[in-house]
Amino acid sequence: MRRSSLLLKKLYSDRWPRALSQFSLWYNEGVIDIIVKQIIHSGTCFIKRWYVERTLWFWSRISDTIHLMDRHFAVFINIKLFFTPLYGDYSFMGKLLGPLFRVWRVSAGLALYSFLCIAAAAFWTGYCLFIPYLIIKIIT
Amino acid sequence: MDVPGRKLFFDTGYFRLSYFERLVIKAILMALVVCGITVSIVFLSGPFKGFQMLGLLGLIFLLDTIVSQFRGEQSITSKVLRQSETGSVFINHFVGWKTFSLIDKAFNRSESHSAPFVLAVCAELIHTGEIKYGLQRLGINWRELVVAVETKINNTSVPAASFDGVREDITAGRIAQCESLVVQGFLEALDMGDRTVSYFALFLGLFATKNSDLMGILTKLSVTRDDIKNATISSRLSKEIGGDIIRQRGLAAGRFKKSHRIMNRAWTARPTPYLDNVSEDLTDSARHYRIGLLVGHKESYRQMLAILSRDGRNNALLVGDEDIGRNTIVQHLAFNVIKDNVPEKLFDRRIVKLDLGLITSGAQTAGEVQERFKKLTDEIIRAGNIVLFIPDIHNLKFTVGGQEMGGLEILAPVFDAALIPVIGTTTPKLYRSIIETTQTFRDLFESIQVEGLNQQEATQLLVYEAYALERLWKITISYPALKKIVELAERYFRARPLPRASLDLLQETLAEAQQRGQKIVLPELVVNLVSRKTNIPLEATTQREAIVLLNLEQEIHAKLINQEEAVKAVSAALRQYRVGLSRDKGPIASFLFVGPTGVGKTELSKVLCGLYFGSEDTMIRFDMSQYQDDKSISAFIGSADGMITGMLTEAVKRTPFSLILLDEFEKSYRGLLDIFLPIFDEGYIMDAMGEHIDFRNTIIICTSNAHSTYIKDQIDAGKTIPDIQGNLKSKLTEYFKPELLNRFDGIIAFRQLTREEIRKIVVLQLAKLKKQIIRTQNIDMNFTDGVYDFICQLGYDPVFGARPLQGAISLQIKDPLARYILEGKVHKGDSITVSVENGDIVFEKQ
Repeated sequence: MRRSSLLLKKLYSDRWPRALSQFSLWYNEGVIDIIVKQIIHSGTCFIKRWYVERTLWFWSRISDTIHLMDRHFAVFINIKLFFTPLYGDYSFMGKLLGPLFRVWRVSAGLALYSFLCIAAAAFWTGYCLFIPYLIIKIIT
Repeated sequence: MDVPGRKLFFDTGYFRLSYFERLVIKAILMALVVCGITVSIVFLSGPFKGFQMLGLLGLIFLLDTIVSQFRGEQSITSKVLRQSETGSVFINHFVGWKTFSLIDKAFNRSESHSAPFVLAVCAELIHTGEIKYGLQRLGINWRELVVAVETKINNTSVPAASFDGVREDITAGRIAQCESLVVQGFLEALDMGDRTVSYFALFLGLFATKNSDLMGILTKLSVTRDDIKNATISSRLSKEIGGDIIRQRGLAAGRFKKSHRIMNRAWTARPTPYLDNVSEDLTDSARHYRIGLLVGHKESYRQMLAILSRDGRNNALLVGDEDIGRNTIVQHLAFNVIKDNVPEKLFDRRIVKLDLGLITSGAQTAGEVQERFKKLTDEIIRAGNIVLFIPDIHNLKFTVGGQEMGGLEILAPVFDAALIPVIGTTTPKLYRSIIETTQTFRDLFESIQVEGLNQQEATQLLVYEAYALERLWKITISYPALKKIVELAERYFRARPLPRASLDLLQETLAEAQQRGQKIVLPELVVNLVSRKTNIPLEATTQREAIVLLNLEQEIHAKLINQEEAVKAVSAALRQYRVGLSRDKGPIASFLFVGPTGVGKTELSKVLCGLYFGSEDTMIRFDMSQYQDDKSISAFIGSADGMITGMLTEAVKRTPFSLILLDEFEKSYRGLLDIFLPIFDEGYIMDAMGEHIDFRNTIIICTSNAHSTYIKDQIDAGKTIPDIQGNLKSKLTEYFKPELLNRFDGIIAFRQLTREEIRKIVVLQLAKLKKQIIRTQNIDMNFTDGVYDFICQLGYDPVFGARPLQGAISLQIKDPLARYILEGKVHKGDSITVSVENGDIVFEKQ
């Protein structure tokens, strides 16, 4: 028999009539165990969901969004082909303009992605701090 | 619970409590949640900031908990999958509230009504919307299943135990079953890639429990685990992909406009204005409307990708029949290119489908065509990001006015230098006749054989198509009907490969269902349609047909005298065929009837044909003595140039369900007999044009007079037919190859007819004549016994069997009767008696 059940049993048998102690004993054997377990479990799972699962989900979505955006903005491809001339123009001007143009494009793209990441980070930070903030507010 | 290789736990502590205790737990938890929410709302709307924060926190916690309880606290992820293989997994977290409630409800029912737990779970599950819909999609009679399960529950209730010990055992058994079922459900959910243990996973888990009562019900109603699983997975996928199929159809019908991207993402390419006019950009289509769903052909796709990714000789040639999926493989490549799911060499490319007709249209000379191709290739090389797809690439060799147009000459050096990756398609026949015979062509490409889909893949594709077609036709197509379509299309419509044959049959079935006003397509409709199209009896035997088949020997003997062995053999073969017990390969049956002339070998074939195949005229008959040279082979299976059509192959194509009679089998050209080896063995033959001819619905009867003398001598010596069968076969090797003799289902000896048997034949023949006269002249004829004896005497010849009878009847009865009628001595409606007087036939009008 569990320790909590033993304590409760002792409590009731000392303080209450026999019938009620029997009733309590019956309760102690499993019902309260399960309820208490469920409440504790819900609490721990809430913390795990809130911080671990949702963080993983959020950042994987951000990563997917960046990949999707890159299909249009093609930042990573342009980084890879940075010195390749535009439109296959391998003349002097073509070789000169290619990197110049790509610098602009890569910079604009990276700026956009950075903005997205910073915004996401800010949101995520706020999200993570939300629960502690509430707790502090409750206490104070 | 230990499953081989895995440790899976389901905490059954809740179920170990009594019903009242479980109720109390549920009530308390519900009360806690309701109170919690109420208190949180009250705090939230209160004036105090601290309490508002507390209320908000409480509300967030409770709502989050409620949602996770509904969805399952944890998801079955790849990590859980790995954990289940190496460590232990606590399954309770993966069972959502809905599923847990269902199990709880079933457990309560099982406890309160002393019902078997597994049946109680089944009863609950089949009442859920998901399972009910799924069962109906499988064409299963849901009401019948419900009644069967409820009846079984009522009939197999375990009697209430009077002793605590027995009651505890029953409860322990029930809990063990519960744990086992949930674990099995978890494994099924893992297998199907579900997020939690769903209703479907639990339902599949029921099969794994192997409860005999439940299995009996499910088997009787043809509910199989594989069907349910495949149907569930397919219908889930079809919801995702069906929409794409609808969009693809819209694209094909021109209902969507696609925008054209001139430049690649890296801006290293160049515009291709001329190419854009004579081609279609598959990557544009992929970008907007997701073309190229690929089912099967994984190996062909992988090979194509490997070839295109090479530095040199990067030209792939897809060789396969029309409508087998060659274009789909290329479209799938386009789809993967836009998803960047390709090797680096193919990254950021355009897959462009060239239209050879547009390039060559209007060109008068080869020079003009060559100029156009030159312009095209220059543009493509300058662009640098094109993968060229040329369907029916053999057309590069086509001629106009007897001259080749020269496309190949311009393109060959470009292809050879691997400047442009190229994908071509062609058929096996054209590959052999055009590409293989041209060295330039042959050396430029690496060929990839594209095979048809197997049944499972074709069924999968049909599920996706069915999703789109159901919306169009407003008719539901059951999963078993789709499987039946694929099965019958593969078996009976081999002229087109899968999936084309099955897609066409699906469309025809939907049209048929619409005509009949049916809202759901079941397998029976498909079988009926195919049966009518092919004239092959595919449906289950009717009572009438069953009676005919069961009494086939008697029916045949009413028209054929003696030869019981042969009659028994052919009757047995037909009965086995109609109930699906004949062998998968080979014709229905193949027999070699050996015996003297005029004993009924051909007559048996005619009688059988008349009785079961419609009429004697439907018999496909060949007198093999007419085919005694090597040209006979072309006469039977056609010639490669198509100038001669094969008589045998064409006849079987027209009437796939028929009786084929090959008379005088031993007299034919020896080489001709070899074509029957694959027919008897596998049930098919390729004709001279390479078309697959199916003989699996034919009975083939060969007759021969070989060694009739031996048969006669053995019979005269007192041996019976079964006695001489063995030796006869070895003697027949003088006429036929052993491998041919081995392939017959039966070699049956026909013996000579006795005088009594000849008399019986006379009776039959004269009865036939009587019917003929009534039909043509409306004259009733009656024969005395003397007439039968007289004709029998004249027509009996031990050497020639019953053959002289026809002559005797013609000379003695038909000719005098004809004179009698022409002389006006008898008129329509009269009755005459035919008798014998002083050795002559006499007609006497009544």
